[in-house]
Amino acid sequence: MKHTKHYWRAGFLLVGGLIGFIFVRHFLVPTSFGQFGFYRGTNLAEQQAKSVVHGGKESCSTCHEDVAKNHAAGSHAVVQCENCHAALSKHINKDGEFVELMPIDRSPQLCLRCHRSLPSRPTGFPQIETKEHLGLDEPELQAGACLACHNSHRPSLEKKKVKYENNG
Amino acid sequence: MKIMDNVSRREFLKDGCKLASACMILNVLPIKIPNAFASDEASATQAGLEAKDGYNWGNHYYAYLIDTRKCIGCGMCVQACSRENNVPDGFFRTWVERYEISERGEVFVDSPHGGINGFEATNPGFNATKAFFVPKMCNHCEHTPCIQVCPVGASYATKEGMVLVDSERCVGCGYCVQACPYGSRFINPITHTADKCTWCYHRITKGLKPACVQACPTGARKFGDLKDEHDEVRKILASERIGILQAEKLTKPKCYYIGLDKEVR
Repeated sequence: MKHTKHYWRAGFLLVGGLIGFIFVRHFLVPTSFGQFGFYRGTNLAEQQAKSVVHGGKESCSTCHEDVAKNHAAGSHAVVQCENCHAALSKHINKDGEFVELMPIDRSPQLCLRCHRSLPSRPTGFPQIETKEHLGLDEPELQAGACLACHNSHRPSLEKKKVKYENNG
Repeated sequence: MKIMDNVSRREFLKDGCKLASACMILNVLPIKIPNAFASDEASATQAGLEAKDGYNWGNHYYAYLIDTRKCIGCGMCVQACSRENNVPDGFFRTWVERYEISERGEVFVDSPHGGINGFEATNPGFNATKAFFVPKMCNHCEHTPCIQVCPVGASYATKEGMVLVDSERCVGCGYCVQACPYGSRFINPITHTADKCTWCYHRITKGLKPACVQACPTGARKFGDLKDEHDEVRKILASERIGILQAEKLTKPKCYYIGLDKEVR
């Protein structure tokens, strides 16, 4: 046979190429790739293992029971503590140890995030024009301008009065 | 087989045609190639996805419901998402858009810093007769274009129906960013890989709600499990009139909306 040599050569090249491909592939493709689909299976566990940052008001109430009780009785009960303060992980770490004090933002801009009168807000939602409400434009408002009358944890004026009376 | 030294053109074409027809017939035959990617129960348990801490990914199929009529545009969801997922400044996994529309059909849309600091009064330059907020995020589409275009298998869908990105696999080519019709993806400037909403996969697998849902004070954002027959979202989807974004793209999004307007895309 005149071509036998050529066939052997081609055969060796093919087999060698295949072995090379499998060898290189072994190092390039992660072992868990294809475990569940066309992706790295272990990534699911990695995504799950990310630490939780926000604890929700239930975790706050484990230590701040009095504030939580007062907060739960008012119209701000639906607002998470962490919305106005900061994420729990800033205050308490994963092992339950104290990290730093929660920030307290007294600026009227924080209140106005929700209560600034805007046409795009649902009409039934309580909104104010600062000019009408306090006689001042927004930039003129001092820190604590809203908190002078409203307790941010329980903003209804009547309730605040009752609370102060109870406290003597 | 005898290897011929001289094959006439006629013979060669004849044999070629035979081979082509044989291949065609074989292709039509109902031969199934065994699926190499079939889920293996044992390995799933090993990976912590089934029966560990009571969480079994096969028992869930999630959906997200946004009631735009309840959204007050406070942006607390955007803030919570940013903190929970360590999203770099100026990039957003979820954001809130404001629409102001006049009787004559003029439309003004804005989303200052994704709404992370809330919204201030604005002047659209016309008399807006209709105005509302629309929170947006990854729709975790059932037929998602972003996974189709990923060349390295970094974007994938889980059994629970969420679309995730493996930042270790991702080469940052940005095909998926272009493929997403909702603009939900971005290239993270720190990791240089594709980034997007995960519906807080690290929270929901621990039985918590996504950070944005937890932060929403008005209940405009709801997260539900369609495999749970007592689920609130499942009941609302079954009884209310629901809209989705860009239905014409046939991506089958799993973020459902109440109170959408024709101007919202």
